[in-house]
Amino acid sequence: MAGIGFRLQNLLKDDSFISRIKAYSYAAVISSGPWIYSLLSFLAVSFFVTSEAGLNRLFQVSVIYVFAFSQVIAGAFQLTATRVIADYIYESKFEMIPGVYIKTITALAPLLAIAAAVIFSSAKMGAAYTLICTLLFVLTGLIWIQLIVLTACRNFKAISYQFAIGFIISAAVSITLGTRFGLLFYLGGFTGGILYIFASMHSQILNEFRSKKAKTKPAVDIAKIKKYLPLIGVGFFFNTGVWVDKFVFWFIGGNRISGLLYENSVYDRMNLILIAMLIPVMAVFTLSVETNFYVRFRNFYKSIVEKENLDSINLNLALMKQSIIRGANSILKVALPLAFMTIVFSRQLLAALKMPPEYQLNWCVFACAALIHAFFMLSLILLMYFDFLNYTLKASALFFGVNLAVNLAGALIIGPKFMGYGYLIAVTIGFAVSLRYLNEALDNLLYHTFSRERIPGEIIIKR
Amino acid sequence: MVDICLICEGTYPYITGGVSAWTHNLIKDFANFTFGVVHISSKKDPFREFKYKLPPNVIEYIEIPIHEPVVDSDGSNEMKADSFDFYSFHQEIKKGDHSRFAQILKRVSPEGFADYGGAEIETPASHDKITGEKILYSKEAFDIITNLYKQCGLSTSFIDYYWTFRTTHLPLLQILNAPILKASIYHPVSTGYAGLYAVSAKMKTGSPIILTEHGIYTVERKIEVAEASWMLDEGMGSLKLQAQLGKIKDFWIKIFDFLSRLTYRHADELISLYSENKKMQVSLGADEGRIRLIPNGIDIEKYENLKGRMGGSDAVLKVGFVGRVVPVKDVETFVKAAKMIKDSLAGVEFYIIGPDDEDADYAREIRNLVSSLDMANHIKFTGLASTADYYKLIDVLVLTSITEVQPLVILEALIAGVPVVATNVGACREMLYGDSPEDAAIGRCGIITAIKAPDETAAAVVKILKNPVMWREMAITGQKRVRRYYQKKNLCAQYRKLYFGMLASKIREIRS
Repeated sequence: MAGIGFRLQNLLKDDSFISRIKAYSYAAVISSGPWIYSLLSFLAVSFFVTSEAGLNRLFQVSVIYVFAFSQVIAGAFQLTATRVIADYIYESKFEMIPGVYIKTITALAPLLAIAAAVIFSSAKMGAAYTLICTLLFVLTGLIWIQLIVLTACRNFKAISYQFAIGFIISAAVSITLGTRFGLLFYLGGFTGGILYIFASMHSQILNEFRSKKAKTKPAVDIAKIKKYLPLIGVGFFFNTGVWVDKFVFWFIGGNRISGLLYENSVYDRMNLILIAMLIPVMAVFTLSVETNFYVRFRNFYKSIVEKENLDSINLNLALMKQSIIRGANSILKVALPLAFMTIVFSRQLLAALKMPPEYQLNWCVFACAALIHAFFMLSLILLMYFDFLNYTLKASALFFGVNLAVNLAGALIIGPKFMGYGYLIAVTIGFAVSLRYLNEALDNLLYHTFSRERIPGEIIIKR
Repeated sequence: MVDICLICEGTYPYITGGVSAWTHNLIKDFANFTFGVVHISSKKDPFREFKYKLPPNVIEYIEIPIHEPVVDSDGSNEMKADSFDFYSFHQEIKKGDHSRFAQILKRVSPEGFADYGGAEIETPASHDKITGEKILYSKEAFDIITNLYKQCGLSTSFIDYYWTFRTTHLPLLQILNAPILKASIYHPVSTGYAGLYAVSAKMKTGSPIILTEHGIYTVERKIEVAEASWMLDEGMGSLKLQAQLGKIKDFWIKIFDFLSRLTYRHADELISLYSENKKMQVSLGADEGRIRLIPNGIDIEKYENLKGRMGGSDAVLKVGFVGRVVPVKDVETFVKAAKMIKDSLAGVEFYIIGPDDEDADYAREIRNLVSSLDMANHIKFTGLASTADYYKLIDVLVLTSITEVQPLVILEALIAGVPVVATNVGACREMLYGDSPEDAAIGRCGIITAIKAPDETAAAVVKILKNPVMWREMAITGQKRVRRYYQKKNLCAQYRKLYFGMLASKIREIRS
């Protein structure tokens, strides 16, 4: 009998998409953890420490720098590590996770330390100050990574407890000692709390995987890292993009505290709107993702893998799109009133924050921008869920670029009156572009899902 | 440049069997011609070894592994909508309409067209190359797949349909993109992918095609597809689902049917081994007037008169089965029949003559059956053996195959003077009862039985063995028939005529 006949290669494997969605949601959620921390400490210190205005400011600026720059540096590593860990969890290769963790923090720590040393030694506040701030900076940066690892194994309880205890330690020590002995003790106390969080989470991670035959020194999986290379860009551009307008107003029209340490008391306070906005938005987002969207997302991919017909696949796709709309709606329900109140009570809020009343309009513009920001983030996260990493990269790079360029130009030409406008322009453009990408992605999701599934062992010949 | 390029799909030189033996003998018999062999395989396998030593006149050999995931790309995964409407081409495939094949070949592999195919093709205005990348991964191809799926009214697994599309198209592309072995004559030994290669080679070189079809490709694939168990795991039983599966299987069969029709259309000479197959080819789209019958042939000198008289020297009756111990030969039926024969005729011995290492599980099953029927002392397994030695011994040759083409063992046994009991498959009936009226007039040289019917087989054998006069007549008739119709020198003469005719016109063409 002549002939080869045929074979059916049904090889669309149940890919890692289920773990992917979880990983990114956690990444989004956990990022609000340090935000809350920075907000609370900022407010606490502003509240308690009223006597020594200069030191109070130096403290605040140091803490802001720690959060801003550690996020910028760690951000580049954060998403990539998230995705690699999510893959390992999906493949049930738990033993690989401590290795990824150790590798990431050993690579990250020196970078953080160098950046911190440069920034804080420039303040010329003495070796003790530089040392404490550097320690604080490194620890904070590493905590970003720890958070990913722990949330990946869904240990939310441990995380929140440790954060609470850490915050109490920070507050108690820095306020009791700081009010008596000055700045170094404020910072020291604060660092103590952070150190507690770092140490307890570190042992938690090692404990978590000890039972699972952990390999702490596995070979680096280059292929995995290469695959997620765009995520390094996304992490960098998005995190830096969020801060770059602040940097502009620090260095142009801001106050130099000491050395490289700048602040802009007006713009920094406006930034509180964004923090206040993102915290509840993230909470709502997590809730809707974990419940409604996640189920439908899974059903969609399940209907493909489990050999359902095209109608049923399309139905699941439609249901999933519906839940995206629903999720966006519930976010709008939180974010819109928040923005509205911020605008309606802008005069009172400005007064409460001791800000000059002539910035009322800028304040309102900033509030609108923060509202859009919430949706910009939502669309970026969705793009990452569906694995459109290049789209995510383009949108976040654009946001970064516009936020830098427009604010730079505005700050130089118009000055402080431009505050908020540049951010509004950047976030609007970023959102518009990411929305367009998201639209395209969802319209052709079926095609993208299938065409991404290459033939196993494929050899491409360029002609 | 070789004289003749033989194109073998999944057979010569890797697999032993009727088709491969035929191919090997053809090359050896035409030692004055140079041959090229194109072997179409499934996947690359560096550990696989040739089962035949290529004769010295095979001067070129290439292998095309069609299930290797090699995808060509020109860097783009956009298939521009243009004058060539890919969707309707698929509709045409399903109808077996191959009129636009030359166009598609030109789009996949634009280089080097001869007058034969190239002249009639209009080059599309904005033609960009169709690559594997585009067929597998473009948005346009995806839309075509979903449209075809909807248009078939399917409500079964989309992902299976999608992969079916991919796995049916990739091998076609591998063939269309394969290097062309330059030859004066292309001689595919089946239609299917081998036929496809021959047709593209003809379009590129202008050289003619001789197609020799042993089995009927479309029919063989139909059986294979029907037996394929893929997707059945998703819940058998529902009639509706069965009908749906039928539609996907249909998709496969349509592609194979398309390939056969294409090959029939472009083959300059169409050769069938026996008239039943010829009818089948006609029903599958071949032009009846162009089909030639060239049956298998054997060297009669090697086997002639090996058997003297019934019972032989020791007067013990012997029944032999000659063939590989594999499921398609249905050795099980032979063993069951042997038991029945033994029960009604004491003292008969049985031989299973042939290698049993090809399907070890099946061979084990057969041995278990033999012992459970308490036949271990009566049935002898010879393993791979020289059949000539056994035609001296056996009094009846039994064939219980489920499928055959024109088995050489029947011819060997007949010329040796051994009557044959064979199942009604392939050309067995024609070989035992005669084909044309003149042939049938010679008489019968054996008995035809139904497949998987041990009682019929047993009855036929017993009938012959109990009747020495009938045995004698059959032995003589068999020798007469083979001498008249199944001599290898006849086969060679016919192929020589074909080859020479084509080479001569090729030479004339080159001269002019």
